[in-house]
Amino acid sequence: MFKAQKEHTYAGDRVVEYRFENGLTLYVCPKPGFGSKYAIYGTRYGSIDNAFTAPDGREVQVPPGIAHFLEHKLFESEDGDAFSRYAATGASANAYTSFDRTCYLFACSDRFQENLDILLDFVRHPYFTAQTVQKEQGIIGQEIRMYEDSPKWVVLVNLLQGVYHNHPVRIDITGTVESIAQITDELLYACYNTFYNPANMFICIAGDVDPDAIAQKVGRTVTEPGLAPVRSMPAEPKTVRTGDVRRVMPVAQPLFCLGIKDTPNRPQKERLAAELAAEILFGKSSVLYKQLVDQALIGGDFGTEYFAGNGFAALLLEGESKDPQAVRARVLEALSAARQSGVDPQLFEGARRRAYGSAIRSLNDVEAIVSALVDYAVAEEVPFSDEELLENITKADVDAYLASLDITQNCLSVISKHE
Amino acid sequence: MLQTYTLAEGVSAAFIPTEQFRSTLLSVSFYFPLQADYACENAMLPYLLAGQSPSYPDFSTLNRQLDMLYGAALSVGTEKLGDFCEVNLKINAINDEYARSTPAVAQAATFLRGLIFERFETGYGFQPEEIAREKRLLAEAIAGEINEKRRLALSCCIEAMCAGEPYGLSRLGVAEQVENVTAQRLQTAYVQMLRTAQVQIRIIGKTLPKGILEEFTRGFAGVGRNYVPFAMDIVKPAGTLKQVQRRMDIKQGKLVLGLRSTTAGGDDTTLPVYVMCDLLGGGPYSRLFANVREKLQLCYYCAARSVRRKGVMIIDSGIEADNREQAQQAILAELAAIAKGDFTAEQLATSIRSLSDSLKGVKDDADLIDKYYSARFSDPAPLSPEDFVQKLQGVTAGQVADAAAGFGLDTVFVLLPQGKEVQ
Repeated sequence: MFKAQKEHTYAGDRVVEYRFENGLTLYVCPKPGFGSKYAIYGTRYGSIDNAFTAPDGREVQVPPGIAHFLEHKLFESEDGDAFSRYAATGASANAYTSFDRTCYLFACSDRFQENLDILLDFVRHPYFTAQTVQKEQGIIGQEIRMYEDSPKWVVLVNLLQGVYHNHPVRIDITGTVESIAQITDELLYACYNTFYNPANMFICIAGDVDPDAIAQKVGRTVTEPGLAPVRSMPAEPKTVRTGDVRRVMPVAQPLFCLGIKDTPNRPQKERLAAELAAEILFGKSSVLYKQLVDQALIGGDFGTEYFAGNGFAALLLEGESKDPQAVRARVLEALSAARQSGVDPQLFEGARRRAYGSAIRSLNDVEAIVSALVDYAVAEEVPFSDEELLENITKADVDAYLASLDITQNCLSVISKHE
Repeated sequence: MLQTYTLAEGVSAAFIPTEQFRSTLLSVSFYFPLQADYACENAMLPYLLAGQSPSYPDFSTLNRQLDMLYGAALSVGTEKLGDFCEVNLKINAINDEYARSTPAVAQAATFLRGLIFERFETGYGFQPEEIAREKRLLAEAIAGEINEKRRLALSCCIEAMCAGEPYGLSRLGVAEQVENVTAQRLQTAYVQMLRTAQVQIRIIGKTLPKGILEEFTRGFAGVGRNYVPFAMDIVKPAGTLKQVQRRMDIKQGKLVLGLRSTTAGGDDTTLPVYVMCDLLGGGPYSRLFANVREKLQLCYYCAARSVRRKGVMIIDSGIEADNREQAQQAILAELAAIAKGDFTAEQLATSIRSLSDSLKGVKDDADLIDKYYSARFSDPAPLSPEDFVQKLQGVTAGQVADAAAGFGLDTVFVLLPQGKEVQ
């Protein structure tokens, strides 16, 4: 039933990997002695997948927000909804849709097998009708309006629209009230049948569980044949669409998100080098961070992220500032200087130690373990491979990454109370 | 099994041994009544203490030391626990068997101790540049509260409902007071906290870091402790209904109902309230989610939470402005139904099951363990999560109905889009 079974180990923990003949991936991290279990059943399908070839050969273009809409609807069945089933077991259940994935999860202390049965069942049995679609349009419309009031969310969406010309990562995950009005049950089925296919899906579990027993259950249950989806992504230039995006909203002081467009789909080691570079140059131990705080140019919520997925990548810096343009200028100066002279060797060592400590601490928590396994599953990378690469990454790797980054391709998104 | 120690008058430590984690968490909390006069100073204190110290005289040096301790995670903040303020500093460091060259746990514990006591012990005081920095950051944090609309609406309701009580104060203080913060006032607040707060130190990990209890005992011995137990929180029934409205340039309205009862205090007293609140507005199985959101479609979210120390319950929802009256009526109808006992045994069992399942998971997360015991800082003998789960099984339908019946509507706060007239 399995095509392959492997084991990956790190710091005394292990993840057992199973690959099924239909392409489904299962990762299980047994945590003896833990009462909590956490499970995610996910698909490599998110808001960026708005154009594809359906299994019957049709070319399909779908309205924005449909992946998120589908996630909401999947909980419903003809007999009721999955939340009622979880209510009977006591598990805490939820789901989320991101740019490149949709995940259905539960957390529990008791009755793990029953909860896993529920998860494996409802995710594989969609039920969409014109009536239930119409009802959800009202609820999701309210959710959209809630996010539209969130400056932290809007500044990011605007940034992505400024960076990307064509890539669908520029589309808001929830869509708009107008776009979700175009969703039909037929379109939902087209998306489901294309992307909710074992070849495109993964299950990640952590807790005091028996990996082989879980694999046996999954193998007996998820027997649908595998068919990898055929996605269509538009060509995306290397340049940003615009250097500045502004919006007026009721905020106390300006929020900003600065994005430096990067080459997409970099090798894993380069992505790690990017994350270390961000920590070294902009983290709390950095020279620039202290300068920006001392000069009252950033507040306590300043943060950075290497934002990447299928066909997109950017170094993001976010926060609040009375002068976001000045922050952009200082960030670009710091990047230029580092590209000239390399990063500070002590700060490199500090950043590497910090990343190592964070990796060790994350093994304390079943939810953090599963979250990391989901990242590996979506990227089709090996569990614990980041941690292994971290052992051998060098300052030269970080310097090489910075040398390859085109810092002229940047966009600054600002939300302020005045134009 | 929790091991407790008394280090000084009003200062206790609890070691929660667990083999499960690869790191050790050391958390120090100072509890004292919220007060308007020193609210800004108390809000700034943890950030000042964590920003620099005599041993690490600037922010970068301090953070680089944390990097060398394998990124020991230092987090600080101020919370409201009923009428009380909690100032907390905590550090989480990887255990020595994972620390390749630098034993991190003992050094992290000493580091945290230093942040708390060194200023007092050396007369370092508070420096002009750090005061200026933290005043700016606090002013920005206060002003920035309008960015998170859900949290803003909750705060506005609580401030209206509990005006004149410590719980009605903002944990950050008010913008007009920030300019009054001086080095002298900060020193007063800092020394007052060291001397008079109730203090709890919680250590969660494999082993108690050697010597750490002695280090903290020595620290508190040197400050001149003057601890007097505090009066408990103000608890009162619902008063004359207050209705407060605010308008902003927003798309989704917020409706927050503040309810009061005289059932307040420790877990034994408030268990039925806890269960009732979950039945009413806990998870997706709850009455508010199933009926007000799913059936009637009157809100996007609708949740209930209780503040056991105060006998307060807050129900908050995201609504279309036009639905405000209907949503309020529908929410109160659900509460009234529960008060009449109009719920099934299965619905009660679902809440108890869900709450029990979550509580059983507390032991698997050091931060949850820390928060669990911190919330019970004034309980003379706090229930462990396991004992709490046992007691939950005994909550009856009659107790839950009585708990619901004990609440009266005190305050309605609504945040509306501009230009929306409300009937």
